[in-house]
Amino acid sequence: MNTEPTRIELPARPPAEAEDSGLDSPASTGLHQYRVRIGHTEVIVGGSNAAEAVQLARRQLANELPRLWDVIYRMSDEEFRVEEVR
Amino acid sequence: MALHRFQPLPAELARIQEQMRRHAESYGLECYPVVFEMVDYDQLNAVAAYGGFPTRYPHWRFGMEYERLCKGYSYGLQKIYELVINNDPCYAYLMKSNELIDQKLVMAHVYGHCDFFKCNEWFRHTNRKAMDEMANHGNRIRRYMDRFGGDTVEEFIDCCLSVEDLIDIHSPFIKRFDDPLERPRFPAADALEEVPEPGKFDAKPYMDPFVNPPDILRAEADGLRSQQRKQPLRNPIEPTRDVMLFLLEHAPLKPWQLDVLSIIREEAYYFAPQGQTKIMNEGWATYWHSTIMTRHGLEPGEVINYADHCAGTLATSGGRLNPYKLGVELFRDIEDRWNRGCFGPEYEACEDYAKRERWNTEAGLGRGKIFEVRRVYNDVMFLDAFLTPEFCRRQKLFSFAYNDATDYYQIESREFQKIKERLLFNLTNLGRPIISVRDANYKNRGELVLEHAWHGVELDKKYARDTLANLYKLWTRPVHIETKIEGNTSLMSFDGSEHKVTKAKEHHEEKHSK
Repeated sequence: MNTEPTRIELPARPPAEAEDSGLDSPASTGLHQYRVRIGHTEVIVGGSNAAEAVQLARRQLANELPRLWDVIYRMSDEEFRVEEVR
Repeated sequence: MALHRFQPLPAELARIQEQMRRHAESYGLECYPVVFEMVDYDQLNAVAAYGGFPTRYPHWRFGMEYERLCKGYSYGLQKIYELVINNDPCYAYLMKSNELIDQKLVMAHVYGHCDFFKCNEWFRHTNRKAMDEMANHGNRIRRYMDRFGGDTVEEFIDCCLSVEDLIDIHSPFIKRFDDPLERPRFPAADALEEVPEPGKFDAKPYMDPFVNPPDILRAEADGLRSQQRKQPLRNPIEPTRDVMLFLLEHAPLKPWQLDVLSIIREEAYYFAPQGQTKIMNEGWATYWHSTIMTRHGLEPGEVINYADHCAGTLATSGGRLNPYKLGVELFRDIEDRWNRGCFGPEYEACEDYAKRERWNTEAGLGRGKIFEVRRVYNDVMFLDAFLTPEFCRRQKLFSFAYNDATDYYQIESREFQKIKERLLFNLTNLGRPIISVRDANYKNRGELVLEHAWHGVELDKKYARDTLANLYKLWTRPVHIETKIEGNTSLMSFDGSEHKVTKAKEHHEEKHSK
């Protein structure tokens, strides 16, 4: 077996804005670009800081991997490796 | 073929079972204790032929099913991967010749089924000691066979099995009478002799003989009595779908026959929820075996074999609905929609397709929602509530029909409403015609009349004739069923020697003739 089983309890999340907030189009807003890695997967997102980049990366990963929603949102911020892209 | 030489699990599989159990519990699944039995392919076919209960009563239909399963396995047409029964403890069967990856997959799948059996409301009234109850049924029937003859009892069972679908699948959840003793009964014969009261005008005592002359009252009472005699007594008061219960209460059967009929009826009610929740149950079990195996159960060297076996189970073909595939995809769709907040009035009111595709409120309610769905819904409700046009488009669902011009089946429509309508129609009442007892005293001669609720599909005439013949053996008087044949309301009848079909007009005249 790969991992030990753990009880999964998702934290209560306040609903986010359904409208496109524009945070994922860094070129248009002049925000920084970050490469966020988790396991073998990486995504490029915009954001004003690393914490925001992690939040956006979670959202993007959850959209791309809907069946891993609970895993993605269960991971702590420290498990994401954030690197600013120049 | 010895069914009692089931072997306990080898140590490695016992360890894997414990791991799977802990994984299942970690995700919130609740199961009765699960007992895995190790069997070879022949034993598994035998157990499957009995519906999972090796202690069941003997009957040729189980032998026929066993032959069909054996041939299917021998020719490589089919293989039973998992077999689990609704019981406490749950019994599940593993095939000895399966590879380790298959055993893991089956175990994970079984825990999904066990959770569904325990937690879904539609199973609430089922007997959780079914293994013992089936053994009890088997013993009783074998005793009758020893006493009255195997052929006699088996022929009677044949008659009972031909009407085993004629039950009211919702009756365990509906309290029709406050007190079972209040159920309307057929009135006693001497009730006919009670003189009905004619209406009297109010009058003072000294004026009563003039206002209500006795001669006139007597004539009125005579008129009411003769009118009552003309009108045949109606039993049941209202149409009843539990035809088997009606037969138990009113058919002139011997005590051993009543017992056998009640056994067949009990087993029909036990299995009914499994038919009503096939898509959900398989979808739920597939969802959890996929989650547990992909996250915890697979070694790197097992991935390809696992993917290959899963692909075989979830494969779809153009002419058949795969309940595993439809169920698991719908559960995944529900989870995804409730995670992204794609529900509610705001989402439903949004008409921008691109906006709906991008919709994501990060609600994170998906896992909770699918647990709620698993608890409350059955297949009809499941599809009615959660089948969406987007889902149909993604899964490329279509409805098909027979084309008389080209002489084969063709795609009829990809329209969502049509697909949904067709799916729900096929699942309502487990896809069977809705038949009720309408009158047990037809023409005042104690003849039995059933009615077929017309929903656009005719009865199969051969099946209808054979069922009427078997029903005649149970009722011992002529039996009829009112249905539509080629657009005309007709009455199919059997009087013990010949079958007859009368059109509505003739049947109406006959019914109201003296």
